[in-house]
Amino acid sequence: MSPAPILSAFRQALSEAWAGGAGALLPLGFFAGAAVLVPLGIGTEPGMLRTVGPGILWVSLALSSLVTLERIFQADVEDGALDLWLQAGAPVSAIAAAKTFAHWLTAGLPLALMSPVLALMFQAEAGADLLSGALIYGLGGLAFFFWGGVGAALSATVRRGGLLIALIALPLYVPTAIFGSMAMSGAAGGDSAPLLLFASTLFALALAPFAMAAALRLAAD
Amino acid sequence: MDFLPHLDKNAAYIWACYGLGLILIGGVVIGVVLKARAAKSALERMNVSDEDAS
Amino acid sequence: MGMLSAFANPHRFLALSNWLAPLFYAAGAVLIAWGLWQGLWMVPKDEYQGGDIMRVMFIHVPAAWLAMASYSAMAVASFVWFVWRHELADIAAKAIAPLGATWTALCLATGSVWGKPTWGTWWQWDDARMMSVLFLLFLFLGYMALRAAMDSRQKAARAGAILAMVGGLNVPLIKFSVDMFTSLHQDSSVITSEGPKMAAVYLWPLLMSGLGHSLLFGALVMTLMRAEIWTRRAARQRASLLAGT
Repeated sequence: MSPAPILSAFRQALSEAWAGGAGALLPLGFFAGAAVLVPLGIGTEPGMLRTVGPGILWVSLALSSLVTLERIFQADVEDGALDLWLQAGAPVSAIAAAKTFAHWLTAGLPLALMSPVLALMFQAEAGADLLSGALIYGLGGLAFFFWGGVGAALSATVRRGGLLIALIALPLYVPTAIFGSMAMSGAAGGDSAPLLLFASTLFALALAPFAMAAALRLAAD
Repeated sequence: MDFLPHLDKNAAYIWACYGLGLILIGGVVIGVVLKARAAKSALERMNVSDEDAS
Repeated sequence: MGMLSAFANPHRFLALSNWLAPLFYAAGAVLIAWGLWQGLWMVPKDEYQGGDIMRVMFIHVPAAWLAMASYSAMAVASFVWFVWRHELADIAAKAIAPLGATWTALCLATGSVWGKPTWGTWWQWDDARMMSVLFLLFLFLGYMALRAAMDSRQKAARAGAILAMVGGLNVPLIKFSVDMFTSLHQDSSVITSEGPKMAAVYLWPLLMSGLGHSLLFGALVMTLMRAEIWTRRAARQRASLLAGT
């Protein structure tokens, strides 16, 4: 079984997600925009912003993932690429994982890299915590993209499936959101939180591709 | 109204809870039973028209 | 094996549910009524638990049990369908969803109303069980919305099964994470009246109410399944009529 379909799907997804040159700007713009709206809504008192900042960034990360995922599989269903993969006997779960990973690379990873900047805007203390925070957002974003990918695959045949994807993905996002924000805030239980985040992300990486593959086969029929 | 239980200051909340239960559960029971009846009569109508046709 | 075939064979299921469902309705109603009588009139109030308001537990706790049990049942039915493709298993999963969602919503609503006089708030983010039940409601709603969005019955069954199994595997993780989240904050004392230390005078009505709700739930599931079997039969007959056979 040659890796050709997986690699080509990966490359294709990268170029799609790179959105014709705009690249990571769109997801970054959304992420930043959503985060920046918050102080307009809840006030600017520094202590409060420092407290809610990480949580706000988690919410923005989750929403950003949902926004980018809507089209991840729909195009393949529509233009017949999915049928080609199935006919060629390619491992659909690996292809789905590669596509999801490509979308995370273009939309999730940049958000994680940008998180220190936004965290500073939310009155976080400058320091090593910002870097570990970026790592945690990276891991969490990976889980969000993979669970969201399951929702996207299930909704691939549904017109305007964005809301359905969000409804499906929301409960699946909960453990990542909880472990992630616990890891950020370093509250009681903060020691185990990064490990739990890592474990739950691995769980997503292990399970989601098979669910995506089953859903994509369904969409192709 | 002497047969009703004598509840303390939170009586309104207690009645609200059981009232919600009555409405939700009662509503579901009625809805489900009606749906089953409709499905059964639709099937019977289909069988009747089947006999007419054959 | 004869009894089991009622679960694989629609004919046998219809025959079985024809008498079992009314029995469950009747038994469920009796037990619920008894639980209500005990809970509202007979058992003494417990000032330590907040006075009369704890009587709400006789409807709230069974609803919580049913919320969790029915999601598990839906996940198991989905798995059975996914592996063995017994149509009845899919019909069961489809039937459980709206009913599970109803009892889940009832649990949330009664829990909220219970919380207001007890803790002063309509919603307590630190209550692990309520949070889990809230996410359970989303899981049910997502399942129903996904099935409804599919073009055909077969696709709805397949999509639903995938989602129910993914959800089912995630439920323990969700519960675990929610427990961790809520244990960070010590202030709330969660509804403690369901501990094993509960006095028999409260426990019996609670258990009987739980059994009664479960029987009623089972009767409703059977009724919805019967409706679905008849609907599918009518659709098949319509299709074969149109095909001219």
